[in-house]
Amino acid sequence: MTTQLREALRLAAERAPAYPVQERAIATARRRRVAAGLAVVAVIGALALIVPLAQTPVPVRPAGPTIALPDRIGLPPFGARRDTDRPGMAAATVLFSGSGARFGGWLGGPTRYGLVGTGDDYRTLNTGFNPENGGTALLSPDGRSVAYSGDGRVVEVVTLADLSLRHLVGDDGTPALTADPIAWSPDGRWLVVRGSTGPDDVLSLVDLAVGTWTRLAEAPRSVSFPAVAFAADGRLAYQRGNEVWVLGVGGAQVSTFSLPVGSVLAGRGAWAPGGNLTVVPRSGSAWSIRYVDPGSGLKLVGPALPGLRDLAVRELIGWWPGGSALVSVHDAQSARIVALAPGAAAATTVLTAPAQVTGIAVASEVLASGRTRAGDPPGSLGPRFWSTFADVLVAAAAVILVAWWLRRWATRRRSRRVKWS
Amino acid sequence: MPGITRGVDDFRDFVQQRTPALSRNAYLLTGDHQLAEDLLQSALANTYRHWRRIRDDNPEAYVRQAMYHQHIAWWRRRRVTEQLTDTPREHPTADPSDATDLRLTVTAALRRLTPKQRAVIVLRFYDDLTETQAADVLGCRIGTVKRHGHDALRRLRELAPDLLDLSWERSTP
Repeated sequence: MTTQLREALRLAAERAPAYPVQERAIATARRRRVAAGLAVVAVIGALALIVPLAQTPVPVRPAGPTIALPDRIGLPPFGARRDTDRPGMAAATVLFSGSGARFGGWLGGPTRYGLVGTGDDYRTLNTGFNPENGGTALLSPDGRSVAYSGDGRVVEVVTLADLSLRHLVGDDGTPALTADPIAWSPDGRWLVVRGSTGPDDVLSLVDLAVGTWTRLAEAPRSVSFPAVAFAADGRLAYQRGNEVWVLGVGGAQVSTFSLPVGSVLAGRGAWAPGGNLTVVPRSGSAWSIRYVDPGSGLKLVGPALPGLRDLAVRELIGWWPGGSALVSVHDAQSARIVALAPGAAAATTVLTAPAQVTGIAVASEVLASGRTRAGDPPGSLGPRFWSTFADVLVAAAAVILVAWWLRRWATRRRSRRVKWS
Repeated sequence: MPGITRGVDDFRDFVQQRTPALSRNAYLLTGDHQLAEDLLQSALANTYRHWRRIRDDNPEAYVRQAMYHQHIAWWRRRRVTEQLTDTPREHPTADPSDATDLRLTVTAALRRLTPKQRAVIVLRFYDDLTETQAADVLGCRIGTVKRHGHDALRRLRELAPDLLDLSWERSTP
């Protein structure tokens, strides 16, 4: 058996004197306590320095002189930051819609728009409605706000920098059921809203400074208002059926005329730099811009711009300072923006987008700046994904730590029950 | 500060009473007086930090467990330089009838064991704990204690055959 071993152990143990460690143990414990306290103070001090720095709000940069149009945009990454994330986005240059999971279309229709900031900061904006089922979203001229259709006769306006949200409730006596923002005045004060009563559409002018709604016109749904455009000087032109109405600042009527046969107002950028209006063919594979007088509707001669063929043209969205017209088009592959320069033989692509992107809008001031830059879209995974991933890691670490601590506690508890000889 | 003073006094009384027994355990674990002294000092320092919480419970168990775990932790940190060999470079001679030789034999043989094996041997055959109790102290499963105990005894039989009766097969729980 092990009698010899027990005896040998006992004999060996007897050789050990009582080590005089009492005072040294107390001194060691005190030193360790002081060191632990200093370490805690150091960590708290470091956090006190780091956390405020990390939370320092990003200064709001003026959108005007630094903005430029990216030459390509990408899809919002999975886990992209949202428009509601702080710090807010100073200004967006591009607002785009699309289909698929990146736009929130996991199960139902996509309800998110993509926003591209001045430094390729991508965010998503959830409007709660699928753009393909009605409802619109509109980027303000300075890119600092987005207006979109709310529930019922409400337009919601979110300011991207401070995340403030305004609810503009229709008060012009129209029994409309919906309200869709469709044009924004260059100074940012006026918003044109198209409401629907069911059989008819109603056009209203909303004064954002005071929140009042002014009813401009009404039209049957089949006629509606296919195009509304603000001029740089604040004049407003809208198409109602085959007629164009031109209003002065504040909504006073200036003129009205009939469109040339087979033509429609060119779109949100229908006001040409010289102050004339532009019209385009209503249908057909060939698409070209023609000029008309805003007072009489008579055809005018203007800078010759190249035409487009076999492209689904959405609208003329604006003009470069050099006189090139910028047109949002869509072909079988994807949406893009092309520039039609005076005298050029063909259109030039100025912005490309992936296949899932179905609509692109650009802040007016970005177009007015005439600047482009190389776009550098983010990868597939955005900051919120990594933040969630980090949270999961921390949670897992916390669970492991607690489990380890509980196990250690249980072990110690059991060992304390052991009676020693 | 009467509470703190009382705590220190209690701790001093406890250490004074239990130092001889704890020193013996530390020496058996390390086989070296200097290391044993350091081990006991470190374990007591840990105990002192938690003294208020454990003084009414079973502080001796806390110190002993701290010693066992500290000893294993030290070995882990030093194992790069401390190499164990499969076979002893020299076989210690032992004359069981002579107490000094027996003591030297077991001390030399214990040094050849891994810290866990040594801990199990000390817990089982010096402290006379059952395998279950040894597992509780070491914070491991009974199977682990059995395995370390079996390996340790096999190795001791190789290193110092006279320490163990050759008829020994299995330790009692």
